[in-house]
Amino acid sequence: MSQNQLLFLQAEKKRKLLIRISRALVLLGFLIIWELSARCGLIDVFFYSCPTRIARCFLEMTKENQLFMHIGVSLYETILSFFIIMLGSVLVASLLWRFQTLSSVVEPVFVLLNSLPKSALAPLIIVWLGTGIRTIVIAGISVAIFGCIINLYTCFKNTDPEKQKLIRILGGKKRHIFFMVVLPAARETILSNMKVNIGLALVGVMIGEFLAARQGLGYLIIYASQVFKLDWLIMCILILCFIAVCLYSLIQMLERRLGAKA
Amino acid sequence: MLLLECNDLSFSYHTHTGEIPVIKSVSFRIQKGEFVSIVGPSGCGKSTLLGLLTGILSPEEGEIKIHYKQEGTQSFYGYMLQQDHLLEWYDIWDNVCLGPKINHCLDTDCKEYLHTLLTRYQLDAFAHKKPSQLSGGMRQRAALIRTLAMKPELLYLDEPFSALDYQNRLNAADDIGKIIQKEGKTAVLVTHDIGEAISLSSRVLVLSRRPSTIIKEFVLPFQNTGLSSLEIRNLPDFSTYFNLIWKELNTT
Repeated sequence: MSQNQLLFLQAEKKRKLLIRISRALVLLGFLIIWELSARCGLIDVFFYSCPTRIARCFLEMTKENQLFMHIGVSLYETILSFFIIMLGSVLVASLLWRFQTLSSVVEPVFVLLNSLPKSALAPLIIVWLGTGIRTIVIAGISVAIFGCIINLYTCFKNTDPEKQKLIRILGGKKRHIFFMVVLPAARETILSNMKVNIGLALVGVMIGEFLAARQGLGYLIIYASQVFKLDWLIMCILILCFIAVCLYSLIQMLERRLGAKA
Repeated sequence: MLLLECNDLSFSYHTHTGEIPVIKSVSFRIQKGEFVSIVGPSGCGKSTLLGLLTGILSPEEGEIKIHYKQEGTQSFYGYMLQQDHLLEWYDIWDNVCLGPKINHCLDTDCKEYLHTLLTRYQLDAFAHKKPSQLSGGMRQRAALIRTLAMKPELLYLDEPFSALDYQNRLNAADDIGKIIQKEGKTAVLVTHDIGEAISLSSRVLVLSRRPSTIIKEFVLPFQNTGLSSLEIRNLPDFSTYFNLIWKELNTT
């Protein structure tokens, strides 16, 4: 390796480290300003809480094991919703791709369902299915699945016709075209939809838990707001942020792994 | 030996705005071992004609008769498209194996045959590379090996060099011409490049503008001279035939 290449790599490493440190400092600065504002009386801790109160609240709740149960329930519902969204979308989009007439018939229905505000559907789902995990998972699915189906179907439909022709020339049937060309060509779109849908599944699960749960972070948020335990509420929001970042990072890791293999 | 015969082929595209007649009464014969080029102006329906010959499209009138199919031939024809269309998510080996995989005939013999082809055409070291890591000419060779994998009797080449720059185009055409000759294959090349057609073929069929029909046939003396397509381009007769075909194309 030449001296100049070495210097370039060192400079790149330095730049990345600087970005990481800056990010940590921004977060730390925010927490310090928040804490100081609360202690100096600039903000009302009853409404705005402060980092130390939230940390104390977190420790108290973890001692009772209550918090992890709520986090676990929300995570389980989110991940389950996410998997059903992705598998369901790929399956439905592939059926629409395979049966063009069917797609012409049902595409407007998916467009309509996608543009419908899903929070308006949630009360209806509760009436139909009652409260419980099933209702919440369906709420989670309903937020993302229609958009994902439309995206994937559009991507499948726009696969290079010449590559499809190649498989036909080589004697392939529709299933060969799908598994050898259409699906691999849609990898980027599937991954970008996964990134969006993991967040949307969390949003859907929260909507469901607000309305129809006895456990989970959404339930805890609603309960905390009703009894004015705003420390709990803000703590739950921060935990949600953390969960969202972790889930997104998991998808990014998967993307990098697949990228390395491809 | 007569390999293929086309009689009075006609074909039209049907759209909401009307009917577009593309091919009209096209008849020709292909003998085993021939390299026939079909030239015509852009948009005259050359690719449509190949679509009819490969069965991707069905002729509205006329018929295509296959007269000879050698034993051991897994597919009567192989088709090379305008671009190599190597699938980026597979390596070169998986790309050249596509046909046998689809047709469930990727056995030891077939693998050995493909290894031989890759080695013979200097791609063995790139078997596990992705298509994007290969040069334009190498990609074309890989696409040809993919086409040869099914040991076809007849090769259809649909302007396979049109996506390459001029220098790569000349080299790739020379390479592909040599490979086809070495493998003893019959080939039909569709192109709008007169030079390419003359330097590679034993016979050139000239198509008219749409609706296309064959207006002239040239029998060329170059194929059995043992010269490469690049060397053929330097022969004095090359420009004579070039001018004759050029004239035909411009009078259609």
